[in-house]
Amino acid sequence: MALTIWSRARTVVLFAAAVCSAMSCNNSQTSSPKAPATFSVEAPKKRAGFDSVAVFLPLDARVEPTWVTLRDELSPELDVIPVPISQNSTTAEFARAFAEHSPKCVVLFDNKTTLLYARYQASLPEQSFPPAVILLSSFATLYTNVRNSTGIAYEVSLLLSATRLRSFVTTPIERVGVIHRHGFQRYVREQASLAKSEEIEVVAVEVPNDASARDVADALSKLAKRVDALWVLNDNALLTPEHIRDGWLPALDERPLPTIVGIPGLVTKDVRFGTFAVIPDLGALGVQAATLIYDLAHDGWQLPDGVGIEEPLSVRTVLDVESARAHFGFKEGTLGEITEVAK
Amino acid sequence: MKRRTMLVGSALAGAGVALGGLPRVGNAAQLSLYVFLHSLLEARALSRLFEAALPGVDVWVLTRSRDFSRVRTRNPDAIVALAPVLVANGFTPVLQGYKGGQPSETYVLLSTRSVTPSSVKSVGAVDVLGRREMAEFVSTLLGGNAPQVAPVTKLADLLALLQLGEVEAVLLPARHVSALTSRTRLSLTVTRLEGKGVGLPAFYPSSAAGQRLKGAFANLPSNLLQEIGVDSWR
Repeated sequence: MALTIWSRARTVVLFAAAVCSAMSCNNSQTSSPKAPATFSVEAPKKRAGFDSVAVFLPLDARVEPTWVTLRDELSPELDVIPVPISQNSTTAEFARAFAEHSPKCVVLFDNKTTLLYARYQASLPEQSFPPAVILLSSFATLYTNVRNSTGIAYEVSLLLSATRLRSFVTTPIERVGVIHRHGFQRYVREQASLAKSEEIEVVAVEVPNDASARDVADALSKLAKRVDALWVLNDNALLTPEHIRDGWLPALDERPLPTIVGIPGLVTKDVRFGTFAVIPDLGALGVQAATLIYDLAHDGWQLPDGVGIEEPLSVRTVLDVESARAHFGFKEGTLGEITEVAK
Repeated sequence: MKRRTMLVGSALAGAGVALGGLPRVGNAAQLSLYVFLHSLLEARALSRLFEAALPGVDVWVLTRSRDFSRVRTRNPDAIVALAPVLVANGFTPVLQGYKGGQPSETYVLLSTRSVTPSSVKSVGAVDVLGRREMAEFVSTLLGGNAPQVAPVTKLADLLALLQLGEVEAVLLPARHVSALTSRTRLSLTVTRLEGKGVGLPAFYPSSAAGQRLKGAFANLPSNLLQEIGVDSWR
């Protein structure tokens, strides 16, 4: 298909969004146009009689708001020990920190740190570990390989995303469509179950693991007339520039639907793909994580039976207000409740 | 190419960089007003309302109690917060907000099931005083009951706590109830708390220049007053 000037411009923008998508949760620096900004951490003086919490984290400025609030919230009652994790880190970092600080709890920031910690645990099958709290990991519920762990998912629940969208537009949001690969089936099912309490019905269409743009277009054509809104998962395999350009956009151009995404870069006036991005408020995430850790301390540093991964509570929103006005009945009185209006 | 770089930068900022620490120091020539109040508005929108009402004043809206506890280090000219929050941080209000002739407002518990203040076991609340102090604050409002408190930094997060079933009830000023209930299809129960309620927003000038703002506060526009739950100052 020949690209028009407009679709070429979209491709460039979508490439940027896809890069953002790839970086939003993992610590890969290779796909970044330049190395992300960093920050520094300082280990506090150990206080007698204080339990310690070891926080394993990349020194990437994007995680700093969560780290700062977590440290601020915990430090009055716990020694919070930051342990930087870099591209070159090995499982030895965990062994060293455990030997030096005997933490009652560990906090793992991002996918890469979590995977490294899982490898460390796997290398010591007989050893017991303190509870681990996983933060800023994409689709954290899919991680079942970290023993004795809990955490807070990175992705904002459909429940919160869709009810927030409802508060901004007059168009009914009752049936929400989602296209997913097989590996996301359980996640979609859990999210659909959670969303029922707000009378949101999920209509899911599964596509092959190696879904092409055409597969996405076909799935979308099945969905478009049956749903009030779309929910787009943070699945990079379905968000390549080609998938967006040839899979998602043609159907959305034909029939605009309020489209919920988890990446702000997908909501721009140039792209007109996502209508509404919902992402965790990274500062508030630190407060929520601190509450979780204080609860663990209250329970003698034992994970309660059946504990799972929490959903992030506090969100930041980006709305394509122009598109919402044109197609979905934007409620003007709510403008001040939107974190960012799409540019 | 330049355009693409800009878009990438913008997208990354949106993805990862949110609130962190205190805001930068404003223009030294201007008065600085620090606001620590919570409404459904985003901090930036509330800040704009104050700035529109107070030309020439740099307005910083804080959302975290920890940041507010360090507000002195920013050398503010004036501060607005709930009266008990000002007092708890060592600031004596010189102007008290009133609503319907009262300097305080009623708080309620909002829950998905019927609860009793004396026995509710977990309560969400916007953290205005700090984690430990909030436990006492909540306990006082509940007549001595000491539930587990889940602190949040935004009013809208209280609804999220109920939607996700994280707490039995949330604690909030009665005036915010209709705004929250209109944003959910959950059937919510309102339990009004007995007692004197909680002090409304109050004003503290912390510099000689800040004293000049006192007069301006008497003339804040009604939309701003409504947003912060006040109809007059004394």
